Amino acid sequence: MKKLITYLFFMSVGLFLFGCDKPAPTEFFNDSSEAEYEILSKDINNEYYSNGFDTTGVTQDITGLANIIALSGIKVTGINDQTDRFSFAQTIFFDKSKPILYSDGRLLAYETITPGIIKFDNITARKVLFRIRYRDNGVLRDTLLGKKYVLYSGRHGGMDQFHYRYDSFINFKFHLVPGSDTEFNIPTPEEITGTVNIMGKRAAGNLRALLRWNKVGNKKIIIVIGARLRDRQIIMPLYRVRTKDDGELLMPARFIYKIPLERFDRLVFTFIRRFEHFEQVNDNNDLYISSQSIHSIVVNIP
Amino acid sequence: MITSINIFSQSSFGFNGYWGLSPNYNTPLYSFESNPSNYSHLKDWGFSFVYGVEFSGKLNSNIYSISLSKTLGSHNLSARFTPGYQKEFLFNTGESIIVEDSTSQSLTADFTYKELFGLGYSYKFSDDLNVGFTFRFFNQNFNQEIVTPVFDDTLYLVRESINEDVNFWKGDLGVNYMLNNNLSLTAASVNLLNFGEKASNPDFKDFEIKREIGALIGIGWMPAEPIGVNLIYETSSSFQASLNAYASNFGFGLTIFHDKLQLPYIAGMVPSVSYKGDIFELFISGVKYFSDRKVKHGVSSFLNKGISNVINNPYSFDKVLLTVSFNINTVAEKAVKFIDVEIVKDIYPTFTGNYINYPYAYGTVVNLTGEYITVKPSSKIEGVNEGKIQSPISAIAPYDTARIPFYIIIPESYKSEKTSLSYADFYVETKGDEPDDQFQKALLVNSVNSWDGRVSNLRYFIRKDIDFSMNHAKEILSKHKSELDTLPNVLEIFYEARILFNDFVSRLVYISDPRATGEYVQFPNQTFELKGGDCDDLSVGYSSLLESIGIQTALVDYKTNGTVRHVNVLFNTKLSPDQASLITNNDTKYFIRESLEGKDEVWLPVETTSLTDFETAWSDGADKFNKEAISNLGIATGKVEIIDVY
Repeated sequence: MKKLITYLFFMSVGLFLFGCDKPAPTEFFNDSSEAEYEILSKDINNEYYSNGFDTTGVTQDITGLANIIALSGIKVTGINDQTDRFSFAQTIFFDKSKPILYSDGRLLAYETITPGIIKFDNITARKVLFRIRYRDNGVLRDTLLGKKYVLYSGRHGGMDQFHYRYDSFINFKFHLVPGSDTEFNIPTPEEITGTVNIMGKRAAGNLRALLRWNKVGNKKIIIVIGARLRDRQIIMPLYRVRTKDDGELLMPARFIYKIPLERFDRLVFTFIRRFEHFEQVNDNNDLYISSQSIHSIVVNIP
Repeated sequence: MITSINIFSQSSFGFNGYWGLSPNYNTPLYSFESNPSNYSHLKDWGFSFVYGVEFSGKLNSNIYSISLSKTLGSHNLSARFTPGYQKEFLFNTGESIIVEDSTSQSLTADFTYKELFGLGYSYKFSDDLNVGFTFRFFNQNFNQEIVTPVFDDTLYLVRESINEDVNFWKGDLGVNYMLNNNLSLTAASVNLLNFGEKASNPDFKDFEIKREIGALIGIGWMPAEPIGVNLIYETSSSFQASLNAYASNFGFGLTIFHDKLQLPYIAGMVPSVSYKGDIFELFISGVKYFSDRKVKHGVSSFLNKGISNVINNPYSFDKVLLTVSFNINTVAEKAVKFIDVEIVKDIYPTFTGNYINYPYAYGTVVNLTGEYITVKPSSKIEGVNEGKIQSPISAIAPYDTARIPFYIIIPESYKSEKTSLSYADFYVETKGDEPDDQFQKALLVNSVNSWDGRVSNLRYFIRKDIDFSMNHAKEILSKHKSELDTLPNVLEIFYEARILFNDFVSRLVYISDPRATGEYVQFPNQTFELKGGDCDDLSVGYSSLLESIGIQTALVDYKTNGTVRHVNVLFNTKLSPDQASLITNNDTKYFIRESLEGKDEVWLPVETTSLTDFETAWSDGADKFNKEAISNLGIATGKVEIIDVY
């Protein structure tokens, strides 16, 4: 019996020494919804970053762009659950030879030009001043870049007869003066309609936002999360999430409860379903075309 | 994006398949999954390990479990270490971040679920009913990369790893009942008791193993001796069904299983072959899933459906396993068993030879095996024997019952003058030094002076104190040395007997038995010390004196006086009938007995209660003997019995 127990002991030791592997792991490929997070406003004191985040919901660093054609069908749902609809179209041509710089020499933007006549669906776009606000060395500044082409209709002063048609086309015409005409159709996406459900409690650290929208397909949508500065009543875009157009996204708790309450009082979730096209003609004549359905939803931070 | 998953902890799936209560093997019973009640066939120690190879695209071998089990009477304790009971999942969380250079970095997660060890206990109320429980310890390790926004003067994203270990115990109760040799039932809980930690990080709360309470019921049926059919059903709608067959030392099992979270409906099978040796059991089994386990899965199925079991889930790989179990019996297996013990004689400590020649008890013993066995019986009386006294070996046929005699030796040193109620321990052994079974029974141990009234047993009193008698006789006779030296040799015995008797009566008086309730016989030294005794004591004393100097004596048992028996002494003068005239001319005063050598010898009856002188006692003895034994045909009818002391 002692012999048997001795054998068993040595067998056990041997098994430990030579059999100490572990079962193989299972590796999954990613076929689930994806969310790509990007910071939009690195300096949350800089109004420059709020420029693009107007009712269009477009947040663009215009330093990297050449010429822009942007069409938007916009809905804004306020904290009273009332939804306003807007249509917006704009074209901006930059003169890359005339940069505007910060005082420290960094590029802020370029001056704009209006070289002809722009029409959307045969409605001539108006030329309006294009100003941006930015903070330079801690001082709030306001600068005029030039003019841009705009059509706008909506609740507040909707003087243009332009109406963004979803899941369709909008005709674009450009008459260069002097020069020839350019005309093409810009497709529009299906209208996006989102909902925001804030769950959990900030005190418990489990504050999450369940975002739902009408899913369309396998393409991606963008959700911009912004917050309203408590003191200046302006909305800062904070993060951009690029995710599948699959109808649902659960924003992790940390993205919500980390937002400092003492500086922000409201959240704005902007759902953007966009068609975009970028055409590189030459260094000075790149063309960026975007056509988007936008739904912004304003909620109080719980 | 991860939302939530449903992971159920272990249920009934085991690596050797399902063998029911497995009458021929103990190995499948080490599975706490299919045996939550810790049922065991072990007689003593058991040790088992499971070593396996997993076909995950590459060969991956490891120890799945090491088990130890111990049976103590009706109790069984088990412990199981399960280093291979784990499942690790690696995947992208679905989150990514855009960093400074506009590139995208994906975030990963590594979740590992482990069952580390388990403990089991069961109690066998009878051969039919077993109740027990098992407790198992689980560990969940969540390791995930996350991105967190940091609000400072600037807003930026921080990529970090969060890790949490969450441990918990789960316990289940079970009961097994054998309706008969062919039908057994098992019922147990699933996830009945749960206690331990909960994930503190909200990111992991939804990924903890779900422990929904359920139950399982198993049935084992053996329609014909070599074939068994088993079914185990869980309230989660999962089940296992198996067919087992036995031939000589080999066994074969095939288990199919349905898991509600796996496809196809019959998700896989576990074939196994086994071999049973004297002390070990060997199982080679395989786990074959009917779906392709080498195909890469999307994480969405894991996130949406979860897994049902750490070792058996939609992502488990096919396996081949070797299980070796040892049944180590340091305690001899019981081959015989007492049914009863009957005490047939009370113990009279002085009757030493009585218990060597005749059993004082009989044990009814049954052979539990299918073989002829020899049984070594022994016994010990508390307060009398220090060790076990061996009795003759007996043989018992297979499954037969035998009546086995037990003998005892009363040591010379035993001198208790008090009667007491004691007990005897009886043992039966078949092999080894440990008894297969033992039995205890009360019995009466009388005092050394106790006598059962049978005259034949008075000789033990005569022999017991022979040293005292010899010294006393020699002392008396030495005083008559000159007288004896002048006598012819043939008369020496007669005169020695005469001298001793006359001295005897000069010291003693007749006293009736002082014990009213029982027979009491004095040893010769006590008779001299007390200066008297009744007929038993006086006959014992005188006979002892004669025997101590080599004079052959016999006791005459007169049974004719109703309840009061009488005894006196005959002694052998060694005179031939022709020489009888040397001591008497009255032929009624002696009695002729034939010696073992065939010679007729003259025996004289002496009435020891006639405490006058030898002649009177001889005369009284002769008168009584002639009347009771001869004239009244006492010897012929058995009413008078002559009992030789040696």
